[in-house]
Amino acid sequence: MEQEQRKEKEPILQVRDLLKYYPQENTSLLPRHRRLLHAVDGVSFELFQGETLGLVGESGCGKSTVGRMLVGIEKPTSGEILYKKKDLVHMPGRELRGIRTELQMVFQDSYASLNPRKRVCDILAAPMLYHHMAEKADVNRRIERLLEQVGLPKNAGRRYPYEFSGGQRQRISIARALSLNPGLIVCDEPVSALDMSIQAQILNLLKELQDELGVTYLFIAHGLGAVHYVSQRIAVMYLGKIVEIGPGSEVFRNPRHPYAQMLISAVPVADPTKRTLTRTEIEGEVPSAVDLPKGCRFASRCPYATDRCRMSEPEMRHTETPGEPPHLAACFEWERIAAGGKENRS
Amino acid sequence: MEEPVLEVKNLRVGFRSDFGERIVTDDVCFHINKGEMLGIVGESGCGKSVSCLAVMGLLTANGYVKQGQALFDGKDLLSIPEKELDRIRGKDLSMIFQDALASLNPAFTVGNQITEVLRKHLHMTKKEAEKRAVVLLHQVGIPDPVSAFRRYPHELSGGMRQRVMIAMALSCSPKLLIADEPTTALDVTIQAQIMQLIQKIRDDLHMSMILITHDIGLMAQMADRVMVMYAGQFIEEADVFELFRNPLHPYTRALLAAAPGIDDAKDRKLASIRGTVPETYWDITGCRFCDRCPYAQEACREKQDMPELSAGHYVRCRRAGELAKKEQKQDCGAEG
Repeated sequence: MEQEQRKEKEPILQVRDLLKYYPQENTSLLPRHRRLLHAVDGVSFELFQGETLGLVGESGCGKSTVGRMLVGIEKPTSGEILYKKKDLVHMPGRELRGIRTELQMVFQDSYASLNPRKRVCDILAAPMLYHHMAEKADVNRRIERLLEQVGLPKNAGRRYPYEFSGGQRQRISIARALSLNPGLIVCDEPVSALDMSIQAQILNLLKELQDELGVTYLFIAHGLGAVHYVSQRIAVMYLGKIVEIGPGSEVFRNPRHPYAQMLISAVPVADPTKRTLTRTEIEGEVPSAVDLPKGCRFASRCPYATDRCRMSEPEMRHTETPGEPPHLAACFEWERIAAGGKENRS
Repeated sequence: MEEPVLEVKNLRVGFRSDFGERIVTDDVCFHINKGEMLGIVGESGCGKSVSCLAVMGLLTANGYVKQGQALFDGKDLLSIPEKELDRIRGKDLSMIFQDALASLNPAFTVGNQITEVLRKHLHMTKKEAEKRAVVLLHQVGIPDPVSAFRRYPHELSGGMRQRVMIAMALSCSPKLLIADEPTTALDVTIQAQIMQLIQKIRDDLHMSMILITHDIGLMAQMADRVMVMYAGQFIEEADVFELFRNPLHPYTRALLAAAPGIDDAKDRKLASIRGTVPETYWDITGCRFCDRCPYAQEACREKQDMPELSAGHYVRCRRAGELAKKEQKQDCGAEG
């Protein structure tokens, strides 16, 4: 039944074996000793029309790099990005320019991503005029409509970005992303710079726009509460790889991968009667992505690691009970861990 | 009644700028008891950091204390001479900041900076100070403290730098530690480690502490008593359990309802507070949350007191008691 449903739903975006390596400055005396930083190291996932996939992980895990590769800011070292079955990585420039309108991005720092010398109406008009998405005469009407959609007054177009608060500027960024009627919006930490009360406004706006327009989001953030709120599915990244991907509520309530478990247990719960933060066991720090260990990347910090984990790298495996939506994790030992967890609880 | 470690009375901090004078904290009063963890929560720009910086005498050049007292060990920190303050600051009264990289001197090694504190305040010899510094680095959970001692701040990770800051702050066993957003720049797993460290130190040293944060979750996990700040005023104060069970000020309620959690039900809708914090809030004589408050009435525009509604629970809202009662009635009605 679930299989049938999934067959019906075609993914809007397919990412296969995406790789991004950055060469490091040569600090060695040996000339051929060139080291690579493995920012993204074999990431594959699918995005379905109208859903939100939350991408979480700690700083430096490569989640932003994935987002930037999707919209074309970074060029992948290798791999495929199929948007509506067309490969963006190997597409000629002219064709790519046309399809770029479909993939838009909202950045964390709305101050840096809006040109301070342009009025809001010019910021919103530029992409529409460049891509011939609107006639000159029609542009003003479209801008008013966009501003209204993101909850800003109609006359906001006459003002400059600095005249707005952080939350309002993020609304302008969202309006700009919407101006080209995109199919997919990559939101890279859109609310982490905002205060709590403003965060809720922006998260609610993103949800409303999705209901209204059917737009698909890749929502990248380190604030797990916010990700949980907007996402149907969650992917957890660690050192350039996705280690777990599944339905949001399952990943948060019943994480399979030991790293996902650690990450989730570290989130402070807003309930003083459940004081678990200072009792959870968290070992070590994220190692460098330059000299990656053999085997599972998490093995050095994992309380369940075996020799096998240190020798070979686990593949993503299905962990859901048959009939449930897919939930994959890259861990050899997850069954043992899950069984152990239950024993302890009972 | 126990003597508080620090008592701040009617603190009013102002900033001079080209556009005139801005009073950013309005007669702020608070105290910390011995061994207590006081949490101060509020959004950016509400005056929570400035109040503590003023107590430490660390305001920027255009900031000044217009009035108020900060009694620490029987001395008013705000009126004693700078030299005397230097003897207290870093010894009995310590502070850690959000940005550990900016708070450490990039030109000196970690060891150099810790030993400086020990030699100045505790008059140790160089050898003694070095030994003690390595012990401190070990205590804050830095692996290989001997090599960390010789490193420069940029060579350490963010979590390790914050540990160095904590080691420095604790080097003279202070009576009070002020932590201003100590983990905001860090990842959650590192945040959890730092909070565990802080908890352990508190248990060991029975130290009093002020934790300033905007993270509701962190507050719930760490604080004993919480004070909520909005637009330069404290608007609610209560024991942490009481505050989360029975928040009374409409702003506190909204703040708690606006925070997404990882164990939320899937259909939960976040409450967002309409509008933004008023920009020139120091001119407002009445309730400063008035324009964003769904329960505001004409009388809210008059000056508001902060009465004690139940034991230890203070609220700066004239309708708080009435609203709580109304809700109780509704709850009863729904059940019946």
